Amino acid sequence: MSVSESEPAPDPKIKTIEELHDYLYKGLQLEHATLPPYLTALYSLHPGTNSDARHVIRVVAVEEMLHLTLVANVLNAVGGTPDLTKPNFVPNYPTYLPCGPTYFQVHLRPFSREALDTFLKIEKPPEATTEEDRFVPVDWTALGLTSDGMAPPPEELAELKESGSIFGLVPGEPTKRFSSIGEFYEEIIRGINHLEDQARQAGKTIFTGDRARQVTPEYFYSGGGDVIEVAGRDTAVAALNLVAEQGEGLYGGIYDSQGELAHYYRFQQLEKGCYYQKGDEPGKPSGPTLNVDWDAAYPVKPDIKLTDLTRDPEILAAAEEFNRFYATFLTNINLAYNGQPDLLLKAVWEMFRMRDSMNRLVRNPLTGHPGANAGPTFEI
Amino acid sequence: MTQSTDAGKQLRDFVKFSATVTGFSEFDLWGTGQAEGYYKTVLNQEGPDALQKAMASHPHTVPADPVVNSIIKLWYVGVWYGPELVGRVDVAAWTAPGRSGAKPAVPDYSRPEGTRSLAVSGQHQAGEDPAHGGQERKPLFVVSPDAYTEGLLWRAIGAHPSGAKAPGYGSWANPPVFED
Repeated sequence: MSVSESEPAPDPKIKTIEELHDYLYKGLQLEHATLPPYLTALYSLHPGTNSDARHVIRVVAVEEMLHLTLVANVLNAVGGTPDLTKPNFVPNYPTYLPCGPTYFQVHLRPFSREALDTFLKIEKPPEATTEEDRFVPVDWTALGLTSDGMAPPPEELAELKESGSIFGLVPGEPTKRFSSIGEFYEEIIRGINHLEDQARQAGKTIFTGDRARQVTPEYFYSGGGDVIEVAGRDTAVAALNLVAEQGEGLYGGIYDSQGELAHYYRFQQLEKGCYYQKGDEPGKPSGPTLNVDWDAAYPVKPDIKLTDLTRDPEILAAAEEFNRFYATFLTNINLAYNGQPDLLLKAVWEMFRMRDSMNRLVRNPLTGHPGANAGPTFEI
Repeated sequence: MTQSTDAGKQLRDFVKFSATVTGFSEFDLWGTGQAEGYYKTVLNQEGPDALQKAMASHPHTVPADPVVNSIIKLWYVGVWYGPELVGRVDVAAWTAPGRSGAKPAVPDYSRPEGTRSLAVSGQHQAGEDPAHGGQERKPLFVVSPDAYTEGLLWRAIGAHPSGAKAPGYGSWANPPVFED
């Protein structure tokens, strides 16, 4: 993140408040979409093993929950309405995200080198140096969707979006993508600055949301940083910067502005087998050794679906119950983001119950899939 | 699972049998993550013949095969009570806050001579470490740190193990949640 509100934003893509709402909804979707993969990997770890990996993944997952809440606060502040209950809010895994260094699929996988590789791609810091680099055409050929590299026709795009497998299309410009999540939030900040400047010239503001809809720190505890109450431009930019920094680091460094190691570098520690410490350069951790036991994880069947469970009625019933519980949970979180923030406290209890349900699922061997275990399917 | 098909089948049979005698589903038993550890514990402690005999016994026979009682108790509290000790009712001593799985919270003079120290060092009996597996009978030990938290008793009473599986701040104001 390198652009602050003081710099003139070059040609913002967000030109109306509705477009800003669409982008922020996409942000909610994006932040949430990281959770099923992170949680599947986290709970696949054998109990009593891999305490380093467990800690790293858990911290990142908890911070993603903070990000979801921060984006909801921004959306509420600009008069939007968070909706985590829309069809396809939860992607159909494997799925593509709207940003990333190269086009890659996000799978539900047990803890493994493959899973870690995907996590690193999700959190990868931006490499874009020019305007052209930050917003690039979707590589439809790499996606296997067209052979000539041309975008599919609009009807087909709509269908793809509907299917949830390419849920991350950029609002208004479905044939392009951002080169990183940081660039995606950068665009939102540009949009906020642009729209707020316009509004102020007319003696108005875009921050018209009801303050009572903000999730404030008393409703959000031990969640990887403080939740920011968004009341205007400064707090909105601070909230979105925190989201981007916690993922990718600040100004090319490994830490965010609160001195927390960014997600990309947290994950990289598992790859390198070594902790970062203050003063380290990106890619060169020099702290204590970190131990990873790649085999100490339950072999959750990748991208597991309910249809994989037909030969195991008890597992099927538990997986269906988990999905229902998760849907109810999202409904409750959504109510919390729509004027009842105190519901977040109760939602924490539900998260613990989901943790226990996920643990039970991943420890169950599947019939007819030798060497593979069950897991949460997140088919909502 | 990494066992050969045969070993895998034996483990599945053990879980199937355990579901019958504990009243919990096979799904729940696998869900504890303890199936393999418990199977190896029984095998190491009582030997394949005694295990086979226990599993062949009718689940509703009264009095049950003592090994069956040991297996039931194992799933519920995560502690191996050899058949000669399985009637003991000192679970509270093992699960008192601050003492979980380490040693009894209260002096227990009812225990047979010499078993107290064995109880503390019995973790290897689960069979995770072949170097320690199976040679020596130990009538009383906690199978593993996780066995304590995964005991069926917590779910049976709608509670959680003290010091583990936290249900969230303030959740204690709610009635216990019982599952089907």
